[in-house]
Amino acid sequence: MTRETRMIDKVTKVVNLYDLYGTLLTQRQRELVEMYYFDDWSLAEIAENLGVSRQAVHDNLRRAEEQLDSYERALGLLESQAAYAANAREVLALWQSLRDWVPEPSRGQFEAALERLTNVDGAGERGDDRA
Amino acid sequence: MAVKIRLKRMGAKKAPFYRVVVAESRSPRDGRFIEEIGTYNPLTDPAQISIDEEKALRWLGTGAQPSDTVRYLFRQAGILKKFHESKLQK
Repeated sequence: MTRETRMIDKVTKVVNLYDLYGTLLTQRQRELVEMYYFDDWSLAEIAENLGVSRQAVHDNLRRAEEQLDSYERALGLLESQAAYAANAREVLALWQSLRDWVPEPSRGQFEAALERLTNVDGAGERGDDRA
Repeated sequence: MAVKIRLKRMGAKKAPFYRVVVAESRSPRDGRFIEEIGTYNPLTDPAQISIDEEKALRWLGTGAQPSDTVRYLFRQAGILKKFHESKLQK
């Protein structure tokens, strides 16, 4: 049970880091991370598919994860992204209680700006459209 | 050939979203799978798990192997419990 819980939390965390720092890994590391964390293959299945030992897959994956962690420690993008999202949500909530007091066209302009602010992620950089 | 139940990542960059799919253990990475039986959305808090219980139980009944992560989702959704109960009844 606890092993599975850790597992799914780890998937979420590694995938989040990979979205931010994945391009800093080697081609081979990216392949491994995607097989393991995107397609949910087991270490043994990856090893068989690539014709290497399970131990090699395990070691290389762990090194890739350590690298992602070290990027986050140095740059902290994931953390600042989370803080940013929390702030954006707060501004949005405050705006809901204010908007009736603000006359047009300022209201519309502010809402458009707020929209751009809260949609800053995702739009325009769809990195994974494999169906 | 063994049949597996796995997560499959979909969704845009920085917006992960998973399907729970049934696939041959040796099927290539081109996204081919036998059937989709649910979804997992880690972006909401708490994460949203949606599994077609009937299909999940049917696949487990035929011996399909869930991955560790899928087993966790099944447990959260109460599917493993039902599966074990149905086995005991037989």
